[in-house]
Amino acid sequence: MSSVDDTSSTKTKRRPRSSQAFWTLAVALPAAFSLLRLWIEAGGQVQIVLLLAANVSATNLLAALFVTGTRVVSMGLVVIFAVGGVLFVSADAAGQAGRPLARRPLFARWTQAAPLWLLTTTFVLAAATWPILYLPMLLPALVATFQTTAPYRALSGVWLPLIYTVMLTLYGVIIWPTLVEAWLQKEYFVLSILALPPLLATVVGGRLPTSLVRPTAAIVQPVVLVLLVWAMLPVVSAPVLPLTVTTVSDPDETTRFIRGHVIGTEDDMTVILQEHGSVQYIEQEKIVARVLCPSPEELPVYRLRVHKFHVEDSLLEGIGRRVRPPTPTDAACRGDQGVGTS
Amino acid sequence: MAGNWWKRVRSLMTAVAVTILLVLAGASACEEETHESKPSVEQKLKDAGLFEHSTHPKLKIGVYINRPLLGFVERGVNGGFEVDIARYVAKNLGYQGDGKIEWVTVPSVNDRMLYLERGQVDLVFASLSMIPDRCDKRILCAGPYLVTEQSVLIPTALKAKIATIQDLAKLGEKVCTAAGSTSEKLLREDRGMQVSSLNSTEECVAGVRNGTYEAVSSDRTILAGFVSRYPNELMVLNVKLGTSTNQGIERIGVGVPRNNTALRELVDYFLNKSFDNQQKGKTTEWTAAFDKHLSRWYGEQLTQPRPDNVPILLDYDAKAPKP
Repeated sequence: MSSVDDTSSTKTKRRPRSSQAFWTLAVALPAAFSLLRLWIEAGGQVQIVLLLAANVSATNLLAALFVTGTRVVSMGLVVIFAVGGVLFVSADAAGQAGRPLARRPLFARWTQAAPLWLLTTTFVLAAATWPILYLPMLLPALVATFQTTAPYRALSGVWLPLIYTVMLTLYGVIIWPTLVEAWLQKEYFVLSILALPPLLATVVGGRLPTSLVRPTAAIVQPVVLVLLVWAMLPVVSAPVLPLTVTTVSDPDETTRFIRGHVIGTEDDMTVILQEHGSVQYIEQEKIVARVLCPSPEELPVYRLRVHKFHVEDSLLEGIGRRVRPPTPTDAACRGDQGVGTS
Repeated sequence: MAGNWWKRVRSLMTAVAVTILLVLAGASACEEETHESKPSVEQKLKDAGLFEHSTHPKLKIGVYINRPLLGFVERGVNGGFEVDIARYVAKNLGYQGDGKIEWVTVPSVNDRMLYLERGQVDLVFASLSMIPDRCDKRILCAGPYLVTEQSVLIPTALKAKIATIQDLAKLGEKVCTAAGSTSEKLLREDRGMQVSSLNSTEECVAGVRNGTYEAVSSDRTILAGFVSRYPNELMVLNVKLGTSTNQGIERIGVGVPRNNTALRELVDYFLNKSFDNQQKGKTTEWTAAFDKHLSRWYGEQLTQPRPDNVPILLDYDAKAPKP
């Protein structure tokens, strides 16, 4: 009796500390990431880091981090929860088979501890921000994760097969033209990633063979964590400021095209961090025009669409393009414009 | 027993599914890095030598300056249908505005090929008919950007005398055409007529106006230009010059140096972009240029033709919604 009381009192004492740690991390991690991004954006030059820090607002920085980081963060959580779901069920089954694990695997504990709202929010964010190409991977991940939750377990009898059948039929109808096009274009990776995961979703739920639970936990968990760190690298190196080309007219009637990121605009000067590194201060009266330019990283890899949406767009991006179709690329964004004659 | 067997099979299926999914996830991480992409517009600009403006500050375009409606100079500024199409292509190649273009005057029909072969120009927009003797043998051809027909120009005063092909055949050397032109080939080789050949269509028109010749044969677009300049003096005859072996249809394209395939692809790509927009019912630079220069004098509303060899290139608008 006394031991139960002791445990509950320990939990009560720990909660505020856990909460503090969580909020410390929730604030500190994005801030740290933002600083790392500034550092990389500045090409590692201290003076430029300071210039950026003085001009880029924290709100803009966090907004940019959210826009570029949501996809990676939701991907990390989905993978952890999905692997955790399978390990959770498998560890339980191993215990029932008389071969209990000394401790539940880490991901299984995280998945078990995650509230339903967090799981749901993670999957909704993933559905909105992942490229359409990878959305089929969400289906088996959804089954693997939610199989530990009460709502999923309540689906008994014919309900589960019925839901699978309806979902797969609908999915097949939607995706069929893209599968055919992928086959014609010999894009076999796209073909497999669109076709296989939804089929595997029907069998991924359940437990692993008892003998495989420990090796799976021992190998997959560290690999996933390492891959997540690797996946965060593009987020750190993603640009903080938009890429522009500024047309500057000099008194000797030459026109310069400065390609770079506008750090700040004051009454008399505009400060531009050029794409190849240096910082330029330009008098406002010399600036003739400025256009936003896309970067080569935005070029797609595939020529495939799911109906009218490009497979490399997320649902949010696809809907955005339909609301506001892109304008033709400005001539100033083509090539390295250098200096011309006005 | 059966229950245990099924549980074992079921757990194996889960293991296989998890393994395949992990492999797919791993492959996804590597795929974008290793996938061989289709060539991009940017890559083609580099291949064509047009990416670095420090080494290629201006795009040199060969045009006519004495072709009413098509290529002319007015108050020191180049204008005309072909010049406007050239500006559209140049803009998409990153050379926007006349400050980024060097207009090179092409004096005669034959010079168009010579200028390209000698590297004096990057592109030629000068009523260049896309015929096998030229395209792929001496130069590369992009397009066509205009499809027209061979026609005949006569003095309005002679309209009672010259009304049919037979009337024209009787004129013999009184019919003038530009040396090396497709009109000359049609009249001499396909129709067996003994026509006179001068350096340019302009010289032929001058000859008609001073009475040396009684008819000029050339592209209908070119002749419409001279009618616009002398509307009371000249008229285009409504006859079909084509034969069973030569329809007399002129497919006008862009001349590109033979060693610059990337540039040919870029020009075709951007001409096709304009063609696609026209198909979608949008107003394009092509339709604007036609309406501004040609529609009044040509006699009928033309539409932009689809270019022959459109490459598949990736550009920044590749994800834009399809209609």
